[in-house]
Amino acid sequence: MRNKLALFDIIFCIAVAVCLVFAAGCKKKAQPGETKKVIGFSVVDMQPNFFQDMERGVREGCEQMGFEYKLHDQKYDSALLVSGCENLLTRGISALIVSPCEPSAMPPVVKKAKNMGIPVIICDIGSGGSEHDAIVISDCFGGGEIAADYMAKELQKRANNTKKVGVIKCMPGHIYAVRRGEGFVKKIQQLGFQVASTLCANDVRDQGYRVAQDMMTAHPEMVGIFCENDPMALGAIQAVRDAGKSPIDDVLVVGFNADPEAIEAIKAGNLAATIQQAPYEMGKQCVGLADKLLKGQALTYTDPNLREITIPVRLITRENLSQYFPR
Amino acid sequence: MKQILNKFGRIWERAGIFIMLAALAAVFAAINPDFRKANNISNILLQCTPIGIAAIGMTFAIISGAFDLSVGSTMALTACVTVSLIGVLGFYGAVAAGLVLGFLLGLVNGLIVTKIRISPFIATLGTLWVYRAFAYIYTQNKPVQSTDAVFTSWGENFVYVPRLFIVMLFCYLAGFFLLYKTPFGRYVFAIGSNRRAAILSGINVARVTLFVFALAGLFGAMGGAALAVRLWSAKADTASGYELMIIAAVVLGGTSLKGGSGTLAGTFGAAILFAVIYNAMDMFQVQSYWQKIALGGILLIALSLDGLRRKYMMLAIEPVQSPLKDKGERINEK
Amino acid sequence: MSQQQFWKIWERFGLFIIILIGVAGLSLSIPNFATMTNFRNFINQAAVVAIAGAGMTLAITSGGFDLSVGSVFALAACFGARILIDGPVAQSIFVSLVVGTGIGLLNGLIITKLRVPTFIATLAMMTIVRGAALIYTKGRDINIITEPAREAAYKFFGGGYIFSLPVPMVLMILVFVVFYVVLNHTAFGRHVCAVGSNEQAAIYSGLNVDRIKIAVFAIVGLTASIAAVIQTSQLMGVNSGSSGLGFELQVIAVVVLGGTSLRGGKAKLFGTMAGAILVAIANNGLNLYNTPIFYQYLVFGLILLLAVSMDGLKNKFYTPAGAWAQKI
Repeated sequence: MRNKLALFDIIFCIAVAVCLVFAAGCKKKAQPGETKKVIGFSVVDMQPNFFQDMERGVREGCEQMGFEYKLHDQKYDSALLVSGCENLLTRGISALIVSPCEPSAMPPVVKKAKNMGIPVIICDIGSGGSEHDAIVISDCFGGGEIAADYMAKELQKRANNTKKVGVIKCMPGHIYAVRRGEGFVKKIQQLGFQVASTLCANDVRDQGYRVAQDMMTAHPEMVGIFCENDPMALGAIQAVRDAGKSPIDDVLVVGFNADPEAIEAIKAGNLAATIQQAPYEMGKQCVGLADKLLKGQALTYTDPNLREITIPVRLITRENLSQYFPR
Repeated sequence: MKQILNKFGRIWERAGIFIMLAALAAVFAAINPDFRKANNISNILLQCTPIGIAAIGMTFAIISGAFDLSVGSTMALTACVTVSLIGVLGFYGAVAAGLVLGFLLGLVNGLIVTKIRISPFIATLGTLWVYRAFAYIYTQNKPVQSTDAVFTSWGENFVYVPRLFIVMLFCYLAGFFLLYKTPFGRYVFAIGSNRRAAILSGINVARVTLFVFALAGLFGAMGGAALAVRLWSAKADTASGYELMIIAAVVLGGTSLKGGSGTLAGTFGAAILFAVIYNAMDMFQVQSYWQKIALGGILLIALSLDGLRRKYMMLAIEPVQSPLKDKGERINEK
Repeated sequence: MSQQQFWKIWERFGLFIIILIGVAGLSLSIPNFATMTNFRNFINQAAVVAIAGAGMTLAITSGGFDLSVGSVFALAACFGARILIDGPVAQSIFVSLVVGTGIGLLNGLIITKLRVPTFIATLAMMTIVRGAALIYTKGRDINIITEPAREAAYKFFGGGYIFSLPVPMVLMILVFVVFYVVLNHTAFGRHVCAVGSNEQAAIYSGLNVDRIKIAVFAIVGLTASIAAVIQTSQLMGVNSGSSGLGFELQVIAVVVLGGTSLRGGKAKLFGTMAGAILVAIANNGLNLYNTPIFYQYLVFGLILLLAVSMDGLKNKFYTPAGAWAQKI
């Protein structure tokens, strides 16, 4: 009886292997004779809207430029970042685009790629001091400053401007988000405001809600809240409304990212403003850069020393919404 | 025929995980040419090292009936400390410092469990947060990097076999020796099977438990060092959530969560199996969200087979002939 | 007061004493702590964790635990939110509860019929259900924008008032009273304790242990989905990937804080409620003090360790049942 089950076990694990193959949603095999170059893209996490848009940009860029495309999801784990890139490199890709969840883990990846003669392009976040070929980076710090300018300008118009604001931060490990807060704090303090409270809401809506509630309890005279991403801002809006106040007139809430939900909230008059980055365009641009590098052409950088190409960010408010989001 | 099946059943019980590993690897290699490449195989061996090494200590802990949920945080804290000290103490000095720290962190866990009488689950749940907090405070949430030549060279291969994998093999050998060849190892099994009996047999349970936790911390630190070598850096939020994966690897390898029985070889096989599965999911471009389902599904299938097998084994064993039966009859006759 | 008396009082009221001290301290040092608004804030937060904690208490009493509650929470919230956009409130809540209970049932079946160890079964379900939630929402968040009448009705669960008490608090008390009655005054409750104290004995006594376990896990799923409804109604939206992450450890920590032994057999239901309130107050206090996040982690670990050490030391120095129960 027990031995029959042992045989059963073997048959089952082969079945598991086969299931795995089918669960892969069988990619179409390339036709023999076609030697398309392959671009490998490793992304931070396919869950946030920002990276989904970036992935779409890379994917469509590859389609347009005639590359084959392989994706890897790091799920915010730096060890998976390294192992995923290693796996991509061994699969015969011609160029590697990485959006690293942890830039400081990039050096070993870039070294390996260089040894194999594969160019590496980093898409946003940071380079960790590695010897990348190019980095396309969104100006998050500048985005924070823009938000500070906007908030200060709006609040100056008010009679009851107590000049006290709060900042809701992302998880401490997400450095791109940390820069947003840093930019905001620096600028708003320069403009004469006081940051009364800085709390972390771990990127998620429900903690944004709770943290905003507690902020307003501790500082009822607070007139503005800057959130390092949109989900937390959406939570903060709910908290402000539950406290009987308006997220535009009483406590000005500004988010970051221009997620679809945030755009809807701005349209509905709930959110005051958000900062839009251009993940889709950045993704596409990286593919273009890869193309140029593979053809041996030179690249033009915003900052040649850091091999950096900076992408500006944009403030989105009720006023200019229809300009950028005609739907 | 029956003898062959019998022998097979016995082999399965001892080496089931390896058979599963070989079967899966064979299937993947047959289907996907990228999988077979020597580069890929050495990648897999490299990728399994951090979890594989940390799982050694966890195996000891689980066999003795305890748990260490803080191992992920220990890995992160020791990795951060190690990398930050490379410039000061040189690579080997820094690693030694990290190992000492890991040992101490484990010792603290052990003290909380033995002196204050808290269940290991809760004690290590608490230290999970405390150690992670220490990691954040120590690094002030900035990554620590190093490009020291000795440090990075450990991530390389030695004739196609990754150096880290060789280190892992040595760690497993040390673990084997401790577990199967020393009295300490036997005590660990004894405590796990029946704590009361172990105490009454004269084993110093408190001291052994203390050492088990210290070992878990030590191997965790070794795993943390391996992780740092992989990343050429460390950060406070590295290794988040690793504790659950490590425990899953140990259980998948055949160690029972109730304690008292376990196999280090199984843990070794399970660690490699996880690396193979992650690698295969990349190779086959399994969609990200489906990967979670695939992983969970494999765990369930593997362990339900195990559970069903044990259930049927209990039914299949004939009742043992009691040697006391005759004596009993004689007593009744009286 | 002798040492024995101290420990006896501690066993019954320890947690409440800590809460009282905390509340007193915070009221004195932070001006806005002792207000109705703040009370509503932290009691609503506590209610979410406490309700899921009631189910988890039952599970731990029966000798098991459920690591998948966070993912079940997320999935129930996703289904509920999606349906609420077009459908009636009743349908949305009903579907959430069914989803939660269904997955709980699945957990129970996997553990009893397939004999997978509880840890692995619930861990595997945790990842599987999370994957399902991500696939269902295609990785995007759900924002509930619907007719005002529906919105107001749904928001009642998370933010409304009954007899000037917050609804989540009332729901929490209701749930705990029901659980208390079931655990102490029904056969099922006694059977759950029996299974938890000694499973073999329970089997030999003729109890259908499998059926009891399946029922327990279904109840855990049910309470997780109730908690999900309350939180979704507060937020009017769901993050499919990050909702409920880490929730399971929070819930288990709260149950343990409350004094329920992980070995099973004894349940301290109101301890769980007290534990949830304590954690919510601690959270609230730390935020009001504007504590950086790293120190918040530290405080949590320390609170957990300290609260449970008191329990451990109590076991060391004080045995309620006399000489024969001397622990070595």
